[in-house]
Amino acid sequence: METTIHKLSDNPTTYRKLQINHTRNKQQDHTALMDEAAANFRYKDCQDEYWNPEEFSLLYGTPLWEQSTPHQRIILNHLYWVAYYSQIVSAEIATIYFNQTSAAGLYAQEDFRLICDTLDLESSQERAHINAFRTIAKQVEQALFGELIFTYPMRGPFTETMVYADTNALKTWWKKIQLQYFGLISANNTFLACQYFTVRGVRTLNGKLVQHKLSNYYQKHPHQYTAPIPAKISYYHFLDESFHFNSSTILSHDVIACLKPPTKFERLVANLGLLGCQRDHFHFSAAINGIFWYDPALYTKIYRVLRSPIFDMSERDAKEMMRRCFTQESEGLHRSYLTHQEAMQSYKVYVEKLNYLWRRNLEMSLMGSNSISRYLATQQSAFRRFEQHHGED
Amino acid sequence: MSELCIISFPKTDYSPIALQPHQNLSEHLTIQNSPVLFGCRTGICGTCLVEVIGDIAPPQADEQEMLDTLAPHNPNARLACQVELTANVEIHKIEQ
Ligand code: FES
Repeated sequence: METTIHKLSDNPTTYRKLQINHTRNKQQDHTALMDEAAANFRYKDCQDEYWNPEEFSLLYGTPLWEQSTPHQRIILNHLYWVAYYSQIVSAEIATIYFNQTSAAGLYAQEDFRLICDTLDLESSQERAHINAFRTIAKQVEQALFGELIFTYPMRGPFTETMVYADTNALKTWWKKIQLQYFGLISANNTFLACQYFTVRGVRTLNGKLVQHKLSNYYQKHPHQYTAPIPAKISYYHFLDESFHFNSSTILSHDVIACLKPPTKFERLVANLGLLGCQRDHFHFSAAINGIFWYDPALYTKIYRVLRSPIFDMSERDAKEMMRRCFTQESEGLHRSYLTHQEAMQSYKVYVEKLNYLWRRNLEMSLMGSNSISRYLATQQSAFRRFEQHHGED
Repeated sequence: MSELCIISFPKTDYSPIALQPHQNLSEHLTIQNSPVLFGCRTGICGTCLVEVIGDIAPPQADEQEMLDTLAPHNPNARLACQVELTANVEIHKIEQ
């Protein structure tokens, strides 16, 4: 009879990595600074300056950007921040939930308390991030438009976290069931609990590509003390998320290797999870570089922005501008495509050692099948439908 | 203007890259122009662990703590995101 109890601390290198990650994250926790910054945010204090590097502006490098006044460009820069972090809010809500279910799956093993404590700390940080993002985004949109545009009400973890390709009730329901089922089984399965962190790692890896640049804006700001609060929050968020990325990597690369090899069923679920991630990251957006949104889902929002007093366009001019921005090549579209390519190449390297993955996940072939010409073809037909259905206001 | 530092990747197909001294490698190297993948970019995750040959300053304490765990027997191991660039360097990937 087997009497040896295998403990995580039998793998000293992995355990040491976890310890360093947890200790440093606790020491450098930005929660208090984040809360303080959000509480002090007043839009009027920073409404006349950029919050991100210029290229991280909504519709940067498109015809709209080219013809915008300096004041309109500043607003597009703020709207990028608002739209980008609205998406991050959804991702963080899902993270809070799956951190819990995975922690349950992991805690059933000897010596896994350290991991669970790390995940608890991360979830509490996510709540502070969400508060900061929403406080700022809501205030900005109310001030600019008198209504919320990119900000949406808080939602549960099973709701789509991305703006998806034309979905329907059946697909939404099916996705929700899959996510609920995954939560349920990963709470009782250590392999799947670890595998969740592959998906979380890939998503965070993608986030880092852009968030590093957003955080640099504050880090290199000539007057950090008076730098705009949203830029400061981007920086704090980036630093917290560095630890989160690291825990994803340790769990999905190192801890998983301490477990028994996956069964056929575990392999199937794990691969479906990553395939879902590829599907989520299939699109790239001319409106927002770095988040893989499906642009037709943004048409009505962009239309509202263009019709607002800030751009003050007629119905015809707004649609013509959108047609040029979304259905034609532009510098902005090419930049987003390059980010998509870089993300895809990074994912491949990140997962290359996970020998239980299917070839199409190792090669990221689903994500790789998108292209500029495919983007344009999709937009051209989606835009025709938008024009037809979006008649007089 | 200070002289450029050349970063080369021997035994790979990647072309050398010229950067100003003190530029941050993680802002200029990508997985497309180098063999280095950057994850956290803050010196904690070790995805950018490489061997660096060149006349550069030794690691700070935090980086050293990570290197002691990730590559205890390799005196040239460095975290590419933490390197202070002051001279030409050769970068080799460390297979983990
Ligand atoms: S990128 Fe994480 S340690 Fe350098």
